Amino acid sequence: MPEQRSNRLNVLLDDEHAAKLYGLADRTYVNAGTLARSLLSTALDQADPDPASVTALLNAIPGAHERALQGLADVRAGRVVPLDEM
Amino acid sequence: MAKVVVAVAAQADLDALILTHSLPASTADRVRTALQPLAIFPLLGPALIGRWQGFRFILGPWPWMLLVYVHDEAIDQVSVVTIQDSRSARAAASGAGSPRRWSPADLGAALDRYEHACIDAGMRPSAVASYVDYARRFLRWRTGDYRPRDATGPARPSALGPVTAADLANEARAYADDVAAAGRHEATIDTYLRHAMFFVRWLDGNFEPGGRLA
Repeated sequence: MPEQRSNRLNVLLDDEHAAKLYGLADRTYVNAGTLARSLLSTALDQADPDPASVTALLNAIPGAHERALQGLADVRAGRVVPLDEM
Repeated sequence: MAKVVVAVAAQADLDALILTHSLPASTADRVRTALQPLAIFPLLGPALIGRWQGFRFILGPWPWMLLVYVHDEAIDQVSVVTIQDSRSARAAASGAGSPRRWSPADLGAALDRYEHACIDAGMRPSAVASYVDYARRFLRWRTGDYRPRDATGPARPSALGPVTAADLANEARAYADDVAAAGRHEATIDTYLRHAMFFVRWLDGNFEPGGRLA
């Protein structure tokens, strides 16, 4: 039997994002909770694009697969840049 | 937390996108911000399929920017292997069969049409001359008819066979390396690569002279 999950979530924001949310809510005269729900839904849609479509897109980009393999070879050879030094 | 690194090839992809798309100075910071969640959630990006099996992706700071990565569970490392513009797929996807190949003669004829496209777009004569001259210099470099002054590396074997736009994009990167090895300033190298890529993107249907840079 599938697990029953509630649609109600408790989310704790850090100070910076809480201030940003309340600033946006004040500016748009919308309840902060309503705005947070809308923004989270949008973020979730953007965070989960269809992998089959993106695979097809990547296959249609000239040279993309070869670049990925080159990148993989770089990783195996230690030719990498730490994220904070990008 | 997973360690997040960027392959040198992916860094070069990003550098090329910044140049050819005139992306803002904050681009690297934005890409870094987009990648940071992978340190905590390395499997956040959906797994790709087919010949891309083993790779995952997330979207970059702009929805067209695809950040392709692998996660090595054994060492808990996320490695970005390439960064691509999904809009580059349009021309290839809409074309029939394999991508078009260009011989040096085709490219010479295309350069004439490129000049007309620049003129038709209403560009100033000096800008037209600049666009065409830099593109011509790249084409002459790839056939062995031009080398940057003070070039240090071995002479490049001339490329006479037909090539795709993707091949030309890779050659443009090698061209920029050759210009860099000749001791040119960063801004000069950028100019050489940017204009070579304008022409390559125009060949591929992804660039309009005089238009806004996406």
